[in-house]
Amino acid sequence: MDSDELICRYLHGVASEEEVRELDRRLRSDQALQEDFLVQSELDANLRQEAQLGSRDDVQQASSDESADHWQQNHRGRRMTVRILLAVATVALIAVVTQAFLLPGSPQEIITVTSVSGPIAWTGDGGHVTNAIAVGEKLPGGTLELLSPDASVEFAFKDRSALTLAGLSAMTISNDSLNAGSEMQKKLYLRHGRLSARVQRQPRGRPLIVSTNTAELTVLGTKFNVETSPESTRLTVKEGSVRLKRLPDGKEVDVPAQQCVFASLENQNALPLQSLNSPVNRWQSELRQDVVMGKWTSRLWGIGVKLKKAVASGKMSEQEALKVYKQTAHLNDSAGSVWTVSSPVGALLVLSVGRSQDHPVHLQATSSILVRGRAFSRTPVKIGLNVEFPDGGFAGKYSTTIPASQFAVGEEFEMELPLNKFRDDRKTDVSPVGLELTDWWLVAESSSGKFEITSVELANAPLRDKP
Amino acid sequence: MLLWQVLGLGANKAGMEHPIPRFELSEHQFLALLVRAEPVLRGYARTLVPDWDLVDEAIQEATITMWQKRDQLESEDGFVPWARVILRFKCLRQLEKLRSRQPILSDEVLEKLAERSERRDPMELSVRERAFHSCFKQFSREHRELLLAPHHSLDSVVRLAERRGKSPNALYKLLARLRNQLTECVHLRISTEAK
Repeated sequence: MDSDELICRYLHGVASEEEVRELDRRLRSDQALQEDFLVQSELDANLRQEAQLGSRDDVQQASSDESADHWQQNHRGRRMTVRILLAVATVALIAVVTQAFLLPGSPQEIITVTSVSGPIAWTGDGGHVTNAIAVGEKLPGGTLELLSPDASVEFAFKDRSALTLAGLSAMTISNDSLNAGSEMQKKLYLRHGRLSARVQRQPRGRPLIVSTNTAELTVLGTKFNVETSPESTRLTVKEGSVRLKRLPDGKEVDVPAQQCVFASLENQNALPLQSLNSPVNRWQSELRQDVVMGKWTSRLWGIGVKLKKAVASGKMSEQEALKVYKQTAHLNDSAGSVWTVSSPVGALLVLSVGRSQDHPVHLQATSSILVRGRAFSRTPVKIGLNVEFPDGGFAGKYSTTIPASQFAVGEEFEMELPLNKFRDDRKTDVSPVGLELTDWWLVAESSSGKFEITSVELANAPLRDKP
Repeated sequence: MLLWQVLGLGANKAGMEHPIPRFELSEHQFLALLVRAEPVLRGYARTLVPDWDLVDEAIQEATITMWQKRDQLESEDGFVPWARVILRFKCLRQLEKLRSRQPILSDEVLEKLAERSERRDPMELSVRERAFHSCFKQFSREHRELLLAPHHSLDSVVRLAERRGKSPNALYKLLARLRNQLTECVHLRISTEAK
């Protein structure tokens, strides 16, 4: 067997003991082959990155012969999506950053910070980065980044237009000053996350512009919420109207009050408006769809790993394992769990309620949050809820701390958390009852904490009272 | 003797026991450095650990350690070498897990590979990454699918072989040839650009 094939088999974990011994022997003295090995490893890293641009579940779908063609088409579509996304994001970022930092005559102060909570980073003043932003501080153009799901920043422009950035979000703020002496045009680039805004009437011909990776919003004066991920933007208008332009194809729609629209790179067809639905007081998370931060793992993937272990330990033959895997592949592949991911602020998991739920979800005094999962470390966790006012605008974040003693390593857990256990650190006497749930999040105190969440549910009566 | 002892990775390596902080890193700056270095670190970890799940574990653990020990870092330029030292420890721990499950290269060979990898210039790696993307696009859809198959799931080459009516071994041979062609293309593109 030639050396390249040996390296390939070794890197993919399919080389036999004899093959590994042979490769080892050749690598010992052959420096050119050692170089080859490094090149192959790097190639493998590039290929893996390429593979991850598509979804792991696309491939699981392809395990069925009948759906192979569909997978190929879907995969191609996704790759195209990523190209568009990167192009749009780069152009938008360059445009906004140029306006923020490079154009002459920019005013020194654009916004005033009115409230800050949680870890944030501000990049402004020629690229200087600071984490110390205080209430009342006046800031020039720059980029505001919220580093944890329980962070929020409220700020106002000089015309008293008030905006709130909440959760894991990042936004570049600028004032277009091309026409010196005239009133400025506000321009925002929401890179990711959630923005709520109450915008005063803007000067004629100079609307406030909010750009995302997927859309551009033109705002004359209104109250709206916008949530964006790398591939989609959801705009909800509470008062007035906002024009949304989908960037890849330039398609536009005017979104009036009490309507919402969803612009996605995946779907390039119509941009249908949806009325804001009547509120509900129950929510069952669709983990795969809702996850904003965390690692989704389908049940099928977990089964694959278990089968591989069973084969490796001799408990099952390879043929038996393949048979079981194929049988399982026909089951619903939306079943699975999400895992925390590590970050400087701890191990994190964030779910966005609006991704799978069309109706606003209102909290009631009798609401409870039921969380099921498995702990892989014994560390305290904070579970939190981000909420908005029913008529728009960020209303706060409420959380409760679960002590480490509630978890046993490797064991499943189920906890029911009544709403009255959740507190807003800033306004301890204010209840979230009547507010709209937008995000659910979990932060483990230690970055090395590992938790698997299998279900998150909001019920409007104590769950244990259910028949 | 354990591999880390052979490698001489004592506590004083890279000033790890008596750090002299010369500058402070904010979360934002740390994340920016980490994101920039991530492809290089991933390639490095892959050289040592032939299992992607364990590479992910090693990188995750190394990231946490890097964050906890960031005051040891003396300059931005030193980030990649410093991160590699931490990552090497984490990879060795993962290798111990893997050793019981599948055959792996000897400590001596892994040491040689690690040292050679550490001498590589991160800039060269990013040029290589750009060339990779240009070359990969030139392959047919079927060949791209095969090149990516091992990175989707453990048995996807086997399933692909079933679908295409070929033996897994034949497909692995083709895969090795395709990887070879891809490597040649990357090499050629870099040489052309250099001229």
